[in-house]
Amino acid sequence: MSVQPLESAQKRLPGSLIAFFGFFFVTLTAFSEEGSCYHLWLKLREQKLESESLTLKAKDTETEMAFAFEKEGSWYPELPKGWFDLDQGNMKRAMHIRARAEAEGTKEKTLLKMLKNYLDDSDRTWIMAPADIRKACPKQPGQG
Amino acid sequence: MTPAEQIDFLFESGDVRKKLTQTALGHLFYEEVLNFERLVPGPEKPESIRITNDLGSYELVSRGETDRLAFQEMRRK
Repeated sequence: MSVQPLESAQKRLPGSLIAFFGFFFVTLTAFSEEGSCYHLWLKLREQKLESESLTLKAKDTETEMAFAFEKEGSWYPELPKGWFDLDQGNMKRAMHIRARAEAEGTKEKTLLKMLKNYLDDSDRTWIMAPADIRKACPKQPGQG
Repeated sequence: MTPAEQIDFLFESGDVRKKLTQTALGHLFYEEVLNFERLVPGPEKPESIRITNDLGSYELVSRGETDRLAFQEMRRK
């Protein structure tokens, strides 16, 4: 049985370790020190933002236009706090209408499934009921 | 409980957030049971921001804003 590959690996190991720690050190210093690449990039970005005009003239006119932005997202909890509130009266109506439509078969059964599994906590990404409700209303056998 | 009774139960305390988790609310919007356009403005919403619904996703749209600080603060949030 040959032990050569093992010996060869043992010889190369210190070199690999030095290279690894060297890379780690360079990366660390690049991000941590004042005047590092990261700080330089931050300053340049700040400079660029400060120098950008927030208005521009509409093409071939003297009309000033201000910049605007659009941000997309998909998850209700990601909305900035205090910007929007639930309209609970409208919400209740919308859920009743949807539940009726699902029961009649005109809409896909999404809400009815959610309501059926209201107390189910087997899938952490779909927990509907807060912990106090789940404790107060333990699941019945056969209930989702 | 019928589904209708269950929905009434969710809203009976006057605040559905006591009966539904944030995750549940997220799913209701994502699955298009609820619509982002029916949200009402909160106390901290900047004047120039509005929200639109796009197939279960939301879009925050700003009007033009020339105050640099206000603009960047809104964009950061």
